[in-house]
Amino acid sequence: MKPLDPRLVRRSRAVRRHLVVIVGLGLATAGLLVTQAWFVAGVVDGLFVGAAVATTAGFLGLVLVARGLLAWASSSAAARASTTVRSELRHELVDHLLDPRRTGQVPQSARFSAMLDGGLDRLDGYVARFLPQVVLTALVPVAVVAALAAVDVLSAVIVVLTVPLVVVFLVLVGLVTRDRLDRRWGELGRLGRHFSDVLDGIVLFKVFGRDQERGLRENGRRHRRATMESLRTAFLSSLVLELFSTLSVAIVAVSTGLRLVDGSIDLRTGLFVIVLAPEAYLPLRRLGTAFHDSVDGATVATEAMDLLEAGRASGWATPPDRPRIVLDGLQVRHAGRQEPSLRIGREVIEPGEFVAVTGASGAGKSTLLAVLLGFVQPTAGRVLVGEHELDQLDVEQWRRRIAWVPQVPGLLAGTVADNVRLGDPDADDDQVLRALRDAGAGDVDPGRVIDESGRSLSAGERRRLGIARALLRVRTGSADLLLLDEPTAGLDDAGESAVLGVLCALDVTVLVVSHRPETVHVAEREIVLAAAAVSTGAQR
Amino acid sequence: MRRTRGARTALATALAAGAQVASVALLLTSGWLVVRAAEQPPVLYLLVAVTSVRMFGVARAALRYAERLVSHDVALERAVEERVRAYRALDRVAPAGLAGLRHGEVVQRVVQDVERTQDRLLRIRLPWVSAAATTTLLVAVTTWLLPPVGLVLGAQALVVAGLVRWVLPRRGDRSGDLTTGHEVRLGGRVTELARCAPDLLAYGSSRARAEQAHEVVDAMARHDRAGAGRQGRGTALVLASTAVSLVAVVLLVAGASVPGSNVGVLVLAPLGLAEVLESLVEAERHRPDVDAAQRRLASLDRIEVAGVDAGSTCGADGGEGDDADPAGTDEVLGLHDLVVGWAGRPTPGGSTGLTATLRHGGVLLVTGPSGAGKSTLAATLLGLLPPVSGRVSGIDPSRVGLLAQDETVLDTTIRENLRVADPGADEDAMTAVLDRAGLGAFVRSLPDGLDTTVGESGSALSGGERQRLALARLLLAEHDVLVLDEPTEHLDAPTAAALLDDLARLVPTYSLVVITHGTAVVERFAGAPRLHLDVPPDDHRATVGAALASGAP
Repeated sequence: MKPLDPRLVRRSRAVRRHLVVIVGLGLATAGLLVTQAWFVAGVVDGLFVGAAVATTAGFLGLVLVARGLLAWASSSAAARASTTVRSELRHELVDHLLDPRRTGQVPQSARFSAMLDGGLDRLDGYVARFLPQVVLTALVPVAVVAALAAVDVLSAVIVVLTVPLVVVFLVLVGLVTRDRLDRRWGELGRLGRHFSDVLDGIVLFKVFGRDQERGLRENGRRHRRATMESLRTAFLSSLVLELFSTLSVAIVAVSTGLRLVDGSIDLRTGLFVIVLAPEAYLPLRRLGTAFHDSVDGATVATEAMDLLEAGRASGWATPPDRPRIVLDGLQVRHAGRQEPSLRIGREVIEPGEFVAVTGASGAGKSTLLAVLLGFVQPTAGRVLVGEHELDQLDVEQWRRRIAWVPQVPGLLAGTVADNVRLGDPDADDDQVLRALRDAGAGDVDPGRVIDESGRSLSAGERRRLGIARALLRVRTGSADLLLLDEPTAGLDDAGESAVLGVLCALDVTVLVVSHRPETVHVAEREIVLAAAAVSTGAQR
Repeated sequence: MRRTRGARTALATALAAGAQVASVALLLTSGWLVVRAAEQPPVLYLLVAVTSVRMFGVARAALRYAERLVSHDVALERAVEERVRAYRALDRVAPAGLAGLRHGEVVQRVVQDVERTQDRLLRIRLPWVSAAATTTLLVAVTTWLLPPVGLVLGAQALVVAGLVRWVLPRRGDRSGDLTTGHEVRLGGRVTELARCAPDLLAYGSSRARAEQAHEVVDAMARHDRAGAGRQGRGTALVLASTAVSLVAVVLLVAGASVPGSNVGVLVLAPLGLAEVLESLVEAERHRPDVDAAQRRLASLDRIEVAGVDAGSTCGADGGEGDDADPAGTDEVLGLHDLVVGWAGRPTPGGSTGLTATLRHGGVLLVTGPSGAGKSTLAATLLGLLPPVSGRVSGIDPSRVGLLAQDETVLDTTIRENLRVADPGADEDAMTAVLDRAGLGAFVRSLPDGLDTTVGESGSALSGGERQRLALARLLLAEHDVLVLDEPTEHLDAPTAAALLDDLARLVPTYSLVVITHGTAVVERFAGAPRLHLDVPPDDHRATVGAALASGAP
């Protein structure tokens, strides 16, 4: 992992400002550490020779108080910066997510939701603790060495020689152990997933009466053994760090002590050196802890950056009325897949046609709808809408011409009616009621409140609400293309035929993805998608 | 490693304390060494101190390494207990108690929270214990050298530790309870938008909604910013108190006649104490998160399901002696005025009381509109849910198996998925059930055969293959009655028809309860007795639904 994702710095003004602030605070901290050591040495020296020390002690107290205030200011500033960075990223992600011109699959996974919600909070360890520590690690040793050089060159030389040595040893240990650790992580990941697998299948195990306690214990024991083996290696680097830094301090202390004995340096200088020298190594040791806190956050940052790097659609053409749609050599291949997830030779969809799209699971039925909606860009081939290619169209205007019923329609907090009105915000109560009735959801009260999770609706009700939404949009006259994804799954036969009747009566182009024979039967034509090739069969 | 956990915890604590003591001793010995050296004694007098400085340096590193190994080992062992406990809590209420929760999110949360509880030992308890040990030593040494200094340092340590522990703590985590926490979080509203994004984009209302989302994000930022001033107060407190005690120590030392070489030790002692107290501040930083994780895990024990108490097993009212198969009949399952429902509330279709009989090797068809409670009936027959009223007679619920829509397939090999049903099954038994479920040829065609991994949620399999694997698994277990709950729902027509053919062939070896709303399934089992779950007209969710239902044959 890189210590700082350069994209985060480039993108985020808050991070840049934060970096400036922590460099300033870091310099002040380094200065105070040096001053503190100087006064400590002064006090002890004063007490040793019997001089008055009250003033020096007072200054020392002030320096400590100043350090305390500085630490407070740094932490608050870091927390504030971290809040700003997270908020900035959230704003950008929301904008990006809801940007109509964004190209690429709409991120909808639980992972993305988790990132927007609590996930980005994990950036805190990265922004508020790791970044300041990186700055301190760069500044403090330099300041310490400079101060030491001013009073005692030999100690400065020892520190200058040992700090890089510590780093070199760290890198060496890292290189030697990396391969071993990499090999272990895979196994650890697998063992670690066991618990989550057990919880995933908890109902399954209960149905089969398979108690998992023994498995959990057995796996836990193996996980523990494997983890301990890798920790023995992983902790080696901090052992090396500690060992070398304390030994270096000991070397400085002993050499100072011996030179004091032969009187080649005075007590004040000697004390200054031994109080200050450990500060050169301390930031390095703290960096290890801060790094541990930041790993999660860095991963989240990288994920967010990857997401924000999607392109934007540039089309501007106005889509024609009731266009003929031509799919020509269309192919979609998802990243990391060998086989394309959609492949179509040539299909022409005439205006007003009712076409069923069928095919085995995985043949790309839903992907085809996503391409038409402009959510997914074809990897090869093209979609012609009238004379225009799909990507030349103004995507917002184009989507206004589409009514879409996804497999699992998204629900917003509010009433059922609010959700149906997504199809037409100006629809009156009667129109909403009629749309619900025609969608086979006449039994759903439009005033019923839906909570954020949409749990209060069954899967079937949810799908029918999606149909009602689309019907409303078609009836406003703005949409002339209706895309439906398994609209009648979960409906009983009477409900299904009623809905199909309503759909057939619409004067728009209908593309319906379905595997139900009843639905395919009412279609004028069937496009059969196969993973490898496409064949067309006429019906009726 | 065979020692008891208590002994190893004590060992870890001792090592942690030793490491910190060595660290402070290193500072003080260096201080003594330098000041004593300035008195220019013969070098011989310094050798002990020189050796000690080196020894403390090495000891700190070595003890710390050993402590981390021992303490992580103990923490990992405890994590196993936590996992078992969380599993027990969820297993107790599954599936009824989990009905209202988003399963994936709960699993993620529980897994993370169990990880987090390890920090209680590693990042809170060990630092506190070693801080106590080191402080005691510091106070003892300084008291020996100059009693008032020991008093000052002891008082400072007590006051700061008390403040850090009880007065300064920042506000707790935003979600303290697993079952209710998510909804109260502002973030839940942003999540909702994320889930709805495709719909909003398709329907062109994403811009208007983005406004709302931005407001929520700002509110989250305001909430977080309010706590920013609290950060770093602990460190400030430690340093300010050190300023006070250091000045006091200096004045005390100046007023007493202390041998020169002890001056260094006394003046450096407050700085050593500051290092110790800062480790407490760091430890307390973790406490709120660990507490919240533990609270959430504890809340698992409080999930309530009507009729399910810790210790009781549900469905015990079926299969008792007086119900079991009266002589002369071949009933395997009987429903007697059965009302089913979640959490003690009857489902719409089950509120009237169901009465039916399933004969040995027979089929019972259960139909009804969506939402009528068909799946609830299935859970009741399996003994996973207690009946709201009425009873189920016949065979023991453990002899009843279930094939539902979208069956869970574990992210492991085909073999391991089958072993869920029978851990002792041999290769022949597995091949036999795979053949019977119509998956034998497919598995034989795979290069790795039974050891092929099926991917996350069985993603490497098609929908039909997944259901057939679930069926094979079901056939491997010892069941007499199979409940088929819309087993072909998400399959395309030819796949569904083929699976249905194979399911029909299970009779008469098995007695079947077939739950469906589709005509294809009803036609296949046309001769079977049929139980129709109706939705009463007065139910709020049913007007058209009820009409459709009563219009059906």
